[in-house]
Amino acid sequence: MFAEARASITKGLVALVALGLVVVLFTARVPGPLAIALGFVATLVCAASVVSLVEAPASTERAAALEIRAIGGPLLALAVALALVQTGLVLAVAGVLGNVGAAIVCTGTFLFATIMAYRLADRVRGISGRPLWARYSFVAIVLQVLVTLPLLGAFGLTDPWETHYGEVAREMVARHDPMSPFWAHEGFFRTKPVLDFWIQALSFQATNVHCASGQMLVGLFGHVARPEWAARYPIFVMALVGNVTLGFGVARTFGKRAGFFAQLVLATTAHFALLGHQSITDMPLVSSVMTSIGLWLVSRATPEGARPFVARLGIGKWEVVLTSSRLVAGLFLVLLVPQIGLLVSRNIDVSMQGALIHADRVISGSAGNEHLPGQVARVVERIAFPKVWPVHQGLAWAFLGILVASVIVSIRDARALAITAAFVVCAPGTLAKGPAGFVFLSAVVVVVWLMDERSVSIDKLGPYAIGVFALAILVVPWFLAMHLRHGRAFTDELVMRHMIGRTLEHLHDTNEGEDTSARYYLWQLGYGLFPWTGLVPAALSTWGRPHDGPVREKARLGLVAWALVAFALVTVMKTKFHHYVFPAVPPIAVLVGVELSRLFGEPGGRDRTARGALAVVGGILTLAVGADFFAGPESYPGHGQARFMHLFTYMYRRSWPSNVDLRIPLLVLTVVATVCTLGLAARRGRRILAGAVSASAFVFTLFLLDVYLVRAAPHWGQRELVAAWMAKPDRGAEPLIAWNMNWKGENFYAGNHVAIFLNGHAQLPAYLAGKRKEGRGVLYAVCEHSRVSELRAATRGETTWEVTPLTTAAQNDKFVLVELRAAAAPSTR
Amino acid sequence: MSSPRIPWKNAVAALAVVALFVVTTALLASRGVSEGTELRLLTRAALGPSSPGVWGTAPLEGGLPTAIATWALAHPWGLGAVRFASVVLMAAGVAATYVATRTLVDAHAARISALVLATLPLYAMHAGSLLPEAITFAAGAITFACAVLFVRDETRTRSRIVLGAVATIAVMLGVATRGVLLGACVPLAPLVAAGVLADGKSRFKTIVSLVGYGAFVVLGLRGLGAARESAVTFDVPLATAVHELFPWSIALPVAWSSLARSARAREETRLFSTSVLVGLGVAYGGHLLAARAGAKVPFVAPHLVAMAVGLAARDADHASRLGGRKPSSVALLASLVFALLLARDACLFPDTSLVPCSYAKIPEPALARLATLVPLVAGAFVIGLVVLGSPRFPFARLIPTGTWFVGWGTAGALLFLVLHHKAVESALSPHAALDAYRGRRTTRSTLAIFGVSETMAKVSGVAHETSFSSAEAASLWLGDDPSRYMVAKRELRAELNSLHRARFGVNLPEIGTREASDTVLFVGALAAGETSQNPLDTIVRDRAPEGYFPAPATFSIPVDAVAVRIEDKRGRAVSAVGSGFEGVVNVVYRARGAVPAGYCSFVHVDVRPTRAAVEDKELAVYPTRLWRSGDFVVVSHPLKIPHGATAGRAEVGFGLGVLPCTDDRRAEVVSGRHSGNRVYGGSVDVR
Repeated sequence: MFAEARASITKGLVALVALGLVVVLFTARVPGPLAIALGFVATLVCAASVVSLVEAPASTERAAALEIRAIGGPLLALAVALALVQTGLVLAVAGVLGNVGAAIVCTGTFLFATIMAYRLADRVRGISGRPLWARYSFVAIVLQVLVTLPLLGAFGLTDPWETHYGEVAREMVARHDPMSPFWAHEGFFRTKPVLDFWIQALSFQATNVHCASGQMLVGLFGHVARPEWAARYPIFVMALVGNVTLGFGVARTFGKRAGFFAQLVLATTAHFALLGHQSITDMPLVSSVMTSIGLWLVSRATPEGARPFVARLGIGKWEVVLTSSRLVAGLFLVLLVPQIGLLVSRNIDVSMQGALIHADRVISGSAGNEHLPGQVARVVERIAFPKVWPVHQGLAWAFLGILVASVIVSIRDARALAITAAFVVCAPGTLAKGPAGFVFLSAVVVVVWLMDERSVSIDKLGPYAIGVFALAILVVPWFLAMHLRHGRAFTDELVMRHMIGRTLEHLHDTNEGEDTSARYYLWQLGYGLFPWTGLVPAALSTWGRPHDGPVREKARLGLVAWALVAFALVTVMKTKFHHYVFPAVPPIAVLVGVELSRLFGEPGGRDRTARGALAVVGGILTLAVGADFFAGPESYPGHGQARFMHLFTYMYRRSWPSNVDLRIPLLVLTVVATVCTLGLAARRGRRILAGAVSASAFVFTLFLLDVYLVRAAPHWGQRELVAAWMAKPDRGAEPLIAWNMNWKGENFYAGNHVAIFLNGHAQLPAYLAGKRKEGRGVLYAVCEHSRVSELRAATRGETTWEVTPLTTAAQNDKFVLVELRAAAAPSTR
Repeated sequence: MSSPRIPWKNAVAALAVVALFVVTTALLASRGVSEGTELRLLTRAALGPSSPGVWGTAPLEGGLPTAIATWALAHPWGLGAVRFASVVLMAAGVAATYVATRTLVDAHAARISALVLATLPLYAMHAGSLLPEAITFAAGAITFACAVLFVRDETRTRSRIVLGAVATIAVMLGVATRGVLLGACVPLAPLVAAGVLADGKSRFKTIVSLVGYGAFVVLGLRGLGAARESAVTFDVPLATAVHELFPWSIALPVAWSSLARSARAREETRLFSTSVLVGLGVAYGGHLLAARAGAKVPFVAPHLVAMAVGLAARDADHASRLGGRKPSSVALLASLVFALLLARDACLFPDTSLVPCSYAKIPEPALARLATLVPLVAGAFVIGLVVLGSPRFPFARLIPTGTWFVGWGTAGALLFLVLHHKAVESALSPHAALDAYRGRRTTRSTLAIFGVSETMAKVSGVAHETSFSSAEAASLWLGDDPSRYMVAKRELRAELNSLHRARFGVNLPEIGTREASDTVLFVGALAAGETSQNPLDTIVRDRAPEGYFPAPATFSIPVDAVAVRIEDKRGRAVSAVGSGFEGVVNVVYRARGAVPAGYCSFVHVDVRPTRAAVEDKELAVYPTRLWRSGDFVVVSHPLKIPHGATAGRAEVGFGLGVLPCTDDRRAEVVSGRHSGNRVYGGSVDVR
């Protein structure tokens, strides 16, 4: 009894110390990579201690024990591989590797880590002798990594959202305030929840990105930095985790081959591949939904009454019991502990001199740039509810978190545990983009219940209730803390205007003249699912196969419900951007994968004639959709080539660069996909053709990400212009002038060291005159090509400035870097 | 899987054809020549066969319809005869569909297919018309039926000769009407299906069918060079077809599922399913190419949808009676979502969702919207019942599932056909105006037309004295004699009214107006005790309306602001609004002299966090260039308070903006309470 109490006290103290370390890391100025590594370990320790504390020892299951020596080698190898991954990333971000080097190093280290993870898992599960290349799951991961990782950071952040969100994350690091997002000259950012900024900010810290004013593009040894690797890497990881979990659920339901094809198809659809290369909120949302639905599929495929997984690990005289209940509780706590640490850290300052407890403080202003024209001044903001300190909130959430964790670890039914876990993993999506994070899982559960089960029992409702409660504890803290900090200004803007308002009203979308009826997202789905669009009719026609059995039937129903709810939801919403339909892509892609697996595995089959007819339909559809990418009218940007860019940008009338013409390769790839799809109508060689369709999709996605995107993206961003400005030896400490620019890429890449003039015809001459008096003869500005003459006119004041464009439309057809040279200034060229 | 033979049921099929006749002939009685394709055809025919462009210049436009129109105009009974022939031809299309389905599936599916096709609004609305689609639909159905029976293994040689001959005639009709692509490639899809079905077993059959079909495709693609670069995207035919095939479009997921699930059916049913599937695919491709080439053609294969629905309903009936496989719950769910989204489209986008059946914008779509919504909601209800198990009514279990579907669909289609058709007919035909004239004309009456086609007047059988091309001349003529009448396009009303006010100081008298009509009837003077139905009477007035908030101000142009009022949807004045409130803001202006063109009226309600700002661009009903000195003009602005509006008091401001009203350029306010060229219009409580 006494020993147990002592052990409990010890665990509690360990958890507290670990939490304390997390708090310290939020406040102290610890170097980024070290802070992240320490914080990660501290969070794991805290979560493990709490899990161990709340579970009664008697409740652990018996299982064969495994000695740490047996897995020591693979474990160490995995740790080394992960260290290599981070090192590779740091070097890629620092710009020393170049595009090719970064592609090789980052991809190679990640694949090495994957192999090591498989080796470790094999050792834990006691599997040996089966080569990795013969495993569907491993091959699927390798293919996804090969197609999505190599040139992830090889191009600048694209307008408008990637640059917007990147700037918010940069300010988060620069301002040392992860609670209240802030951006450039517009003050506090309240159009999206916080997750995307958190993960980007963490990645910036972990990879040593210099987020301070004017430092963003400063790399190692004089190289230009590549912060895009840091911005997009978390998105890549989330996409991979989502796809792997969903594939796992499909494999458990439809077989391993189906899981493989589901992963492959999804990884090679245009929308998934493109948004996997965008550091915006959509992939965090959808990957979270994919993970949750993957776990829901696992729950459906798990037999009733099955027990959770148990493993025992002997470490010297200690024994660590790993159960899936503990892992789910641990995951829940890993997501919660940093939030608690953040809340507590708002009232504590830790430095070398000691700790200081104080009331919460909110300060506006861009770090180091408050004095520049057009920027927000540094002001201490009023706290809306000053009496409720964040530390109080943190303690309350900690109490509730421990309560929920203790309930989760007590779950002894594998199916119930999977359901609870499905709700827990909805949290990242909800924190990334709002209620959509849990709406899809809820809809799937309700639809399947309504159409298939229609019976209620209290014991079946239990895991749902626990899951929902856990989800609320993970999601509410930030929203509540922000409301208590900023009051209705936050709630009105984020919840009322950008969540509810976007659904009910048109909010700055750019669809004037477009038909926004139900057809709108059917249209975009066709592009988003390319080159698999042609197989969608076949995939959606496999409903109700008699020998599939109830588990597969329910799984299919759930996947279709997910797709239909996503489609209906975005169709009903008044605000319409093309990428809003992205949540409907994964379920359809998965169904295509399942169908492809059937074609591959059962090339004959009784329904081969229907398949033949559907292949004809599919071929026609593939050609029809593909033609839109290269056979559009001259009035449409790039004759239709821009449609892929439109899947994740806006301003759908923005010009297409005249020096980028990819219509021939798009035509060739479309014809290949069409021929392969049509070929599926043949009886013989259907298996080869199914493989050929997959191969053509793989090549298409490589082209899309590594050629199309790399060539088009520079015209949708400001990276190259700011890099050109940074390279100017005579720029001194002067800020870059942003003339009528509000794309935030200029702010991001310049670390917001930007003098902002929006409609500043009156202010600019005075600013220039002031600079002239200070002796500055050369200044630099960015603006749109169409605004150069306007800028020229605006520079006419008491001093005359010569305005000379330094970049051409071939480099960036939207924006230009210009030199402002005072009439009497000496030439440096 | 053969259905139990109950002979009396076969009579339903014949009844379906009769129903088609009844419905279409009943509609014929009230049908004038509609604007659009029918009028264009007649006008071209009236120009004479040697005039340029008469025989068709648009893509996929054959010469046969023009030849028929020429013949119809040449004979006093020609139009009626052509309409009757069109009904007969389309009835033959229904019969062909019945025969093919009965042969390859069973009588039950055939009955349903025939019924669906006979009542499908897209099909039935073209019966009895001069439109090319009447031939295309019927020829397509006949060709398809013949082709699918031709490629069937069991068909005897003698039958094949007959089928081939009939198909050849039908193909020739189709090609002469809509070209090879839509007239031959789409209905000959069973050739491809036969090739697919042969599946390597008969290489000869595969090669012959595919090569034969390929020849048609090559011919069909000739002359479609314009399709190479087009703004028409891949989804356009899909979206259009969904609206055109209403109300059966919501059953498409279930029908598609049935077609794809027929793997275990007998060989002939598989041929049927495969042919329909391929036919739908080819029809989609053909439509896309046609649309990309610039042709405006409705979905040319409604018989395929009828066949698919027939198969699905028959499968569902078998499932509920004989214990076969139930309709896929996933497909039913998809149908349910389809129904709800289409209902939303009918409410919010009537121009998009209703136009495909009418081929023109319906001015007042309330009736058509009702005709769309009711079947959709009923359809959703029926699907819901089926999804959740057998319907829970006492007698419901006696009715098999498929019959629920067919019953709902047929009722919905008929309702749509009658109500929507009426709305379309009112909108597109000058019937109402001409009927009103016929009812009032005396021996002294004279009629003129303005903006209405001469051909239209001719085929409508009403003699007119003159036609005008300028509003001034028309107004002078009309005002000179009280017994003069004028049939004019609705959009000319404002201009004529302004000229009339300038001359007589009152609004132009208008009679016999139907809200939905695109054509109106004006009269020189009203008879004693008669009231004008001119809707401008409430907009252009001699004095300001009462009960408004006074907002006196003067603009730099010769206009005064007079008063403003916020009203709810029922026209009642309101002083407080809630978040999401929908109503109108009426602003009264007074003209001090001739007002220049190029102004819009705007209203701001300064709610937070987002201001409600509305503009009446170009003063759509009565533009400023038509205002005369002394006119009081009431301008309505639809108002919607944004959701999430913060409670408090919100100021109302209004004024005149400079077109195109996309920036802050405004007419200057020179006197009165104002800020930033915005007149103060009081305030409103936001709750």
